[in-house]
Amino acid sequence: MKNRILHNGVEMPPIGMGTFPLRGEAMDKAVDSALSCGYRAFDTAYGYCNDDSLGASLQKYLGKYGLSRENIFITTKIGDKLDNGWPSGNYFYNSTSCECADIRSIIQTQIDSACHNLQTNYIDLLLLHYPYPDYYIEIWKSLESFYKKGTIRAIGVSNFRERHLEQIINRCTITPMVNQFEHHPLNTKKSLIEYCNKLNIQIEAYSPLLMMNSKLTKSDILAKLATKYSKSIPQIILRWDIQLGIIPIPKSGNPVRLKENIDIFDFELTEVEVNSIDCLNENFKMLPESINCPGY
Amino acid sequence: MKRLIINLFLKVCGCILIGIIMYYFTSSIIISAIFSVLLIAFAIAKPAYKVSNYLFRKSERLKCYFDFTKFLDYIPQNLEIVNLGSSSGKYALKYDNSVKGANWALGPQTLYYDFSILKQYHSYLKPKAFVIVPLCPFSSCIKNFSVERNNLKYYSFLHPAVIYEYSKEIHRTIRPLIFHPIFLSCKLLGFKSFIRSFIASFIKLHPSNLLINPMNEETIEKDAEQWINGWKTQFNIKDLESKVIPEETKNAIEYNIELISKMVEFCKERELNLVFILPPVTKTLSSKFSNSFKELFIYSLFASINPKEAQFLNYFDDEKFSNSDLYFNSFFLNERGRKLFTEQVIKDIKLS
Repeated sequence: MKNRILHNGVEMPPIGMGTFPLRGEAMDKAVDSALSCGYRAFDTAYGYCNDDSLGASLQKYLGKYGLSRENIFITTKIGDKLDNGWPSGNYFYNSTSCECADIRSIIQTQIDSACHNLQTNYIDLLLLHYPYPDYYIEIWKSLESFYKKGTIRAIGVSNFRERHLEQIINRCTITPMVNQFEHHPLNTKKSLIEYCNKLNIQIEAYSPLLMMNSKLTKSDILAKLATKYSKSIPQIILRWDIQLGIIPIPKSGNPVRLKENIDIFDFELTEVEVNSIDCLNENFKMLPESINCPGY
Repeated sequence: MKRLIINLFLKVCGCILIGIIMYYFTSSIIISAIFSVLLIAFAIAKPAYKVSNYLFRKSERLKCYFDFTKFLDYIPQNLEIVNLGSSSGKYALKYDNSVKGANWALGPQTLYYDFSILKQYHSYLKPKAFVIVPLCPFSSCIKNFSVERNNLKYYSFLHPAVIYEYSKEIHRTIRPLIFHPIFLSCKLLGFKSFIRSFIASFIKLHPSNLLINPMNEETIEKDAEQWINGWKTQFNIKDLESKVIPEETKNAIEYNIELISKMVEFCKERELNLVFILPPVTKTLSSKFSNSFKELFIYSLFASINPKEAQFLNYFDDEKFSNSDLYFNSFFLNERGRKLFTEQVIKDIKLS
């Protein structure tokens, strides 16, 4: 399991654990299992409202495996608040739904809250959750200044398309180190991957297994590869991500699946096989971005 | 659904059986019947409500009244064409299986909410999809609804950031009703109006679904007069020939011109093909509008738009749709008219 190197030199584990919507005991159980089978990267967000649970679980179990804070990689995201699972529109919109228009102070508050809840004094990777159309440039500029202060080791974006990245590149000074977006065999986003690769932006894939949508479980291509390598379909998909240079962050609270999801470093797909999985693409979105971020 | 009905049937049978057993012990047919009825009412209340909600969401006829529920149901992805718009859009277009399309119009609706819906749902569109914005003769004159009830429906399916003058209090009232469209519709329409529409939808076909126009020449004329008088009152316009526009209407026109240019920019950035259309109306209604009115209230909206960035297709007086049988009143197309008109639009934008 070889770490990926971000363009600012920071090392990042090649696979991580998604945490939404785990909380409390479920989070405890998942973090315990994840650490035991080798996960070293954990992904949360301000909007998930579970960073306190993640912080508490890490605090509880790091020692058990002889690990310390420096051995793990925590990603969190700046973003809008969720209200019972629904986007609240409280932050980052030029709208009457927003409580506060001071972008910098919102970001400062969210960073402070993340550090407090995660029980850490630094964040490994801070992402901007969505390209909030009215303010994403301003938010990015603020993130740049927080990054320069040193409490954040790397900054990046999430759900950004080429047009958003282009604006950042043209109008800001730091190229995002990471872009995290929905990526799985039914939505391969080839051109965005090419664009990010060209700019040396590390790609992270959320929903990499698409909750094992029936189109994936019934796919002949994936089934044949699973038989050939004596692996499961999720393992084939995660391996495909790894070979594309993408960091997948599958979420599971199930210890067996957690173990299975990281057991992907002992086989290799051929180039033809990687391309055959690409062919499953149908631009299917589990989370159509504009639903959570209108004007996306 | 099948399971729910079987479950319901079994519960009713069980209640009747309990009633029979009770009759055996009490020998009173009245007591056992009342007991059975109460038991049945108690047992079927929840599933019956579920069935009603299901029928409510699925019924094509009901959708004519409570069309916002389409945003609460499954929305197909990679759509090739969608239309926004108010009632004139809702009754103008209907997509068959030849294209992957969706009618996202809601009646009544302002251009502001056309744009809000587009902002929130455009991720369901295929790259280079067509976004049709049907206008009605007075689209330019309205900034937002003066009746609050017309705004409430948006709290059920739009993101707070795109709701006009969003209020947290209203949101708290509406949100819990989202998964109970019967209650939601009742809240939105008002009880009386809801009951009237609900009953009407079961006893007769909504006129928009007809293949003929139920009105004759005389009633069409009367209907057209009614529309015109209603608009004149709503927008404080005394004479449709007059070039003098009330200040409020002038502001609304300027606001909508700006909104349209923002929509053009939005679609350009996302590589969507934006097309504004003016759907046809009956000859009787179109004859009430002078050229100077159209110039002032409709065409002025597009004066600053580059036709390469957004098309404007005008079918208002199109001879192909002059037959009043294609409408269900003086203003809106019926099922047959919608089919013909949609084919025409698809042909004109060269989608297929």
